[in-house]
Amino acid sequence: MMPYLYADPSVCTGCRICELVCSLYNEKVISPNKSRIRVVRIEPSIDTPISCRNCAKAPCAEICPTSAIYRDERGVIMVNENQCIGCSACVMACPFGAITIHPEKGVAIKCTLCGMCVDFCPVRCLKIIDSEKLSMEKRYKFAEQMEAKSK
Amino acid sequence: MMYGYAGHVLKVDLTKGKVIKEELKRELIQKFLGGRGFGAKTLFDELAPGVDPLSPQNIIIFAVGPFTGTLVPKGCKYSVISKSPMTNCYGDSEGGGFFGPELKYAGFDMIVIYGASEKPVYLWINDGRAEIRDASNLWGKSTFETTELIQEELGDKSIKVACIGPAGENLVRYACICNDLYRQAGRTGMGAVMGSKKLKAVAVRGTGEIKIAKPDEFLELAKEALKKTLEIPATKMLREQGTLLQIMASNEWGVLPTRNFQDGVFELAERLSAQYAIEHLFVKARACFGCPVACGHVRYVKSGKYKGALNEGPEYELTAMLGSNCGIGSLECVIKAAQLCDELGLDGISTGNVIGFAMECYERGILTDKDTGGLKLNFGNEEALLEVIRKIASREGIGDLLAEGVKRAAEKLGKGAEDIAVHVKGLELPAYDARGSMGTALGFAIADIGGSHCRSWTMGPEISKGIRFEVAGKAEMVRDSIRARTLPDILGFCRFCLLDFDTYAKLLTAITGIEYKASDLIEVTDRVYTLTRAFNVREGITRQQDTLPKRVLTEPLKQGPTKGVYVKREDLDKMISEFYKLYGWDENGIPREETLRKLGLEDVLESLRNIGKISS
Repeated sequence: MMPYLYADPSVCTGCRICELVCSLYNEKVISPNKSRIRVVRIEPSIDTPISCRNCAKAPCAEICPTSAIYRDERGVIMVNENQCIGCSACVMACPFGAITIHPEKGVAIKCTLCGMCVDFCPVRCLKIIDSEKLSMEKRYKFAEQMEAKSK
Repeated sequence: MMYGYAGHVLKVDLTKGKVIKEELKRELIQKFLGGRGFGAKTLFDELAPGVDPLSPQNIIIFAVGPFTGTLVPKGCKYSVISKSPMTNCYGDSEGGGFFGPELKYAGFDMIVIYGASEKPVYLWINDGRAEIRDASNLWGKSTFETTELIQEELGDKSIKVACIGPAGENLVRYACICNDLYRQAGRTGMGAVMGSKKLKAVAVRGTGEIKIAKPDEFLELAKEALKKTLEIPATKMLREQGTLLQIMASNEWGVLPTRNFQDGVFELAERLSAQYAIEHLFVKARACFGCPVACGHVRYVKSGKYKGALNEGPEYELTAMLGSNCGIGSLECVIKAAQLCDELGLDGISTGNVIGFAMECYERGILTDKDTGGLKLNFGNEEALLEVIRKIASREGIGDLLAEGVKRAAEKLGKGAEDIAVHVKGLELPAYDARGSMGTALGFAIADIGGSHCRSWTMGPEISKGIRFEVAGKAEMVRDSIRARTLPDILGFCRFCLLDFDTYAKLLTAITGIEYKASDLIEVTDRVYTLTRAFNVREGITRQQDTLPKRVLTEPLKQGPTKGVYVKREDLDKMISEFYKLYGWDENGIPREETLRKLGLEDVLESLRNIGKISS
């Protein structure tokens, strides 16, 4: 299964600490614009972190003209910076806005599942998970609710 | 390379319609660090004494600190600094949300705004560049509409906007600046200063970066600071309940302002409480930038006569001032009132104090139906509360008088109104009754910006130690609280859930690459506080104005643990003398020569000598 970063928008408070730690850890500077995860706030009550879902049929990898985008042994979609030409085809293909072009390096950047944001999220709304595990968690949650009702 | 700072200052001359970008001066960083420190120094240096705060000669400054926009917990703050139209003294206010960090990512640590425009304008700052744009279509619009219209005009929803509403345009003296819809630089009338300059808004978009001297070390320190912040019990309580948790605490302490500070216990407090909000109105907890606390609660009224009212908030201060202080026991009504204040751009604290004052005047016959235009301004009249908020913002009818604040309104009314006007130096007192603890009394009396809790807050610790009515040791407690609360305004983070000076010194060292010790940071807070005192001295403030409202000094509270309590003049005098001594100011509250020298404020000494405040 492909692991990905799961964000629960009902828990997210929109603080954007994930953006800060992402840029500091990966770029050694503070810059939300270089973060691989971005939080979108829609007034009055939605805050939703968005990052790569490591799609099974990744449109970014399929469209990349230089085959710079590949899947590594963990199942994570990665960018080979030497091969990337910064053409933005992946940006256009991604349905989520989860891949961007680094403003100085001119190469595509995206979540590499380093997990730093998970460690820093103060409300624990982020976790690294795969679809089998996520659906299992949901099944258990649903079943527990039924059990509670049956009492 | 400048670590931790954007490195630039934007100077804007609205009279000439020009913008200039300058480098941030290293001497300014060395002595004042950032935020409120930058602003206080710039205002002292560039503003001549005696200037009318609402004239084009006044200057208004936006400044951020080295923690703003970084990974330091709660690093979201910006300061607005100007001469206050409420107090004619030094004024400032801090705003949270997202505007401050965005300004820094756009490449600026400070904006200094001079002059006044003839036509309405707004300032647009986009990644290191700035321009003054026409705001004719925005004039008269609410803060919400203004924010959305600017984002629409410039075609970017991520633009952050700090703006004024109609209250600021109409020079209501306690008009606030509203940023990111629900965050305000609320106090001391900064919105009126913007209005006097015909400056409707500052809009910012920044995609830049903040360079960190020791990124790996900073990451570790920030993680530790985050962990410590999450371990503070108040963090969890504030996230779960919002600042409204203070309503029941204040009521139990007998300090919840009730009916214009006539009482400290409100019989309907539970209807304004966090518990009530959670059960009936809570939507979700929301954070400012970089904040693990998330004390902002979105609340929505689902049914009844205020159906549809929505606010991120209201927070404690506004709820107490527009609620209990006006005799209003409906949180739904307060949400509606908060929404109005936010949209119109009014400081909720002053607004609630002013309306409470007007209600008491009405009940005592100082204000009549003729004055109010038929509005029955009795305590607890919800419709009248909402109507008078609108009238204040538009300066219509009775609103014109009330827009001046309680001090000026009482002076105009006479007939004993001055005895029931609850302010210090012209700034309305906030939602902690000063009779409830001697530290609070001292803190309000000596605050450089007038009656405000933003400078020191000692009530909680005084009560938990069981020493709240004692005089001894209070000057020191207030001094320590001022230090602890000045630092966040300087470095650019929120004053809730604070850690120790050592932690902040280490974080600042890792960010800037300059070695700081806790004692260095304490010294900067003392320097800034003495500087703003000197500013006020230069404006003519003396010991005489470091006082409390007549009500606090003569009228005992009526119920609960504060029953029978008022602040005795001699007690206040004793604390003030001790406080001056601790800061190295003389008996008249003028900073001593050796104090100014020790703090490296020789230029301030020179300035005070030139006007004869310090003998040469």
